[in-house]
Amino acid sequence: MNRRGSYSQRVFPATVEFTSCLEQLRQDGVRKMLGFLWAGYDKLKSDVIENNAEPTRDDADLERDLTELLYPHVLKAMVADLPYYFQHEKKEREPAVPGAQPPEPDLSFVFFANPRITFPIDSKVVEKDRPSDVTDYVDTVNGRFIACVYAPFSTQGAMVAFFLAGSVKTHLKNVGAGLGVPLSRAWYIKGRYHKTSAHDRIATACHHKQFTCHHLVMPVGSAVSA
Amino acid sequence: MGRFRAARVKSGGKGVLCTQSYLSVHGRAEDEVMLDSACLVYNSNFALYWLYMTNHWLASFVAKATVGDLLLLPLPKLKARKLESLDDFDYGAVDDLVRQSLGLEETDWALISDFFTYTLPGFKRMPDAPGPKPTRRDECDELERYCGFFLRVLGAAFGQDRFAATIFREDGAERLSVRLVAIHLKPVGADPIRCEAISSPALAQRLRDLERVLRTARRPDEGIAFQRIARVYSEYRHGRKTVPTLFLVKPDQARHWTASAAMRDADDAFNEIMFWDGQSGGKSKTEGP
Repeated sequence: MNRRGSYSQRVFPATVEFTSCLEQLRQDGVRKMLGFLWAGYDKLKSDVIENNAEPTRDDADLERDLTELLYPHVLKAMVADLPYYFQHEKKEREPAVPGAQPPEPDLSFVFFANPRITFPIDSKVVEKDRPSDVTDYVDTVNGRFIACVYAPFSTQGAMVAFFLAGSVKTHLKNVGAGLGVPLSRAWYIKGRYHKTSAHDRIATACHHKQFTCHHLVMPVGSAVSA
Repeated sequence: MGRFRAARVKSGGKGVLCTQSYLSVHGRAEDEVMLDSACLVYNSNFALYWLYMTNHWLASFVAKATVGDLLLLPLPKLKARKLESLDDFDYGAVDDLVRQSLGLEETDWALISDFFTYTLPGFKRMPDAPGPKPTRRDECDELERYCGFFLRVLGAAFGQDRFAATIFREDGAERLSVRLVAIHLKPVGADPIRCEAISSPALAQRLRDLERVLRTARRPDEGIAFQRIARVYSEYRHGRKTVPTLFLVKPDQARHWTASAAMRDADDAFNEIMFWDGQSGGKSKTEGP
C-alpha cells in the first residue's frame, strides 16, 4: 500500500531553500501578529493605565474589563492590508457540545481565507508572583489549549497575563513549573516579557498534535519588576 | 454605470419643486456643513457601493433606492476649506475627498473601485463590461495592480520589502489565453514588480497545455463557483539564486486580475504558508499559528 503524503508535501517543494524560507516566514508572521498585541498594550498603557489610578484586584470583573480595554487598542495598531482580522470572544465551534454554548477564547486572530482557523488568545489577571497566583492560568493552558477546546486547527495560541505586582521572571518560572514544561530561554520578541512553551497534545479533537503556547506578561501595575 | 447626483440649491427666496425621482432635504443655516457633506457623499462612488451592499432593491431587476435607504448613508465630517478646493464635476477628486473624510484605506477603496469597474457592469450584463475582456500587455496593465496589492498583503503579514513579483508576458505577437505571475517569497532584484518575457519554448508550451485544461468544459457536478486557476509552489532561478516562488496561472480575463482578487489570493497564500507542515520536508520545526 502506498504511503499517503500530506497536503504540504504535495504542495510545497522539500528543498532546503524552500523549507528554510517558509519556516522563517511563518515565524515572522506569528511575530508580526503578536506584535500587534504588544502595540495595543503599549497604547493601552500610555492612554489609560498611566493616566489613571492603576487597576487592583478589588476592581470588579477586572480580567474582562482589561481585555475589553485592550481589544480596541490592538485593532487600532493593526494595518489595513492584513490577511486576518481581530475578534473579541469569537466562538470556537469545532469542540462545541450540542445544546451548549461553544467555548470562546477572549481574543482571536481570524484568517480571512478560512474563518474556522484562528489564533486564540486567553487573558488572566495575575495578582502577584506566588505559585498559587498561576493556578487559574495553568488550568486554562491545560484545560483549554492542550485539550484542544481552543485552537483545534492551530499549532499556536497565546496567554496574556495582566500582571499586577511582583517579579516577571518569578511569574514565568511559576508558569513553567505549573505546566511541567520549560519555557523558552530567550524572549520571543526582543524587549518584551514574552516566552513560549512547547506541548504535545493527545486529545482526539486536535488536528495538530504539536502546540506552542505563547506567554505574554503585560504589567499593569507599578510594582512590577523584571 | 452612473452614480447618484446631488446638488446644493442656493435659494434666492424661491422654493424648489422636485419630481419623485429626487430626494430633497433642507437644513438650517448652522447645518450647512452637513448639507455639503451629504452632497459630496451622494456624488461619490461610495454612495452607490454602500447602497448596493445594504439594499437589495438596487440589485433587483427594477433598481431603485428608497428614501429610507438614502437617509442611512453615513456622512463624514468635512472641512469647508477642502470642499472649496474641488473643481466642478471633478468626480475623481470627490471620491478622493470622501475616501479621506471617511478614513477609508486604499485597500477599502480598491474594493469599491473594482465593484464599479468590473463587478457591477458584469452583473448588469453591460456589453462593454471589462471583466471578461483580455488583460492589456503594457507597462501599467491589470497584472501590475494585481501584484501590487498581493505584495501589500504579504508585506503587512510578514514584513515589508521581502517579496517580489514577476509578470510574464508573451515574447512575440501570439497571445495566450492564460496569464502567469510569479510571487517570489524573497526579493528578486531592485524592483518589487518586474516583467519578463516568456522566452522559454518549454514554458510557452506548458502554458498552452494549461490553456487546454482551462478550456475544458465544466462537469455538471462542479457547481456554479467553477473556475480553473493553477497555483504552484516551486522554485524560480534568478541568475545564480534559487528563489522560493508561488506561481499563479489564471485565465486572461481582467476580472481574474483585480485588486480584490489579489487580496483574496494573498489571503490564501498566507494561510498556506502559515500552515505549511515544517516536518514534511527539510529539517525545520513546526511553528505555525
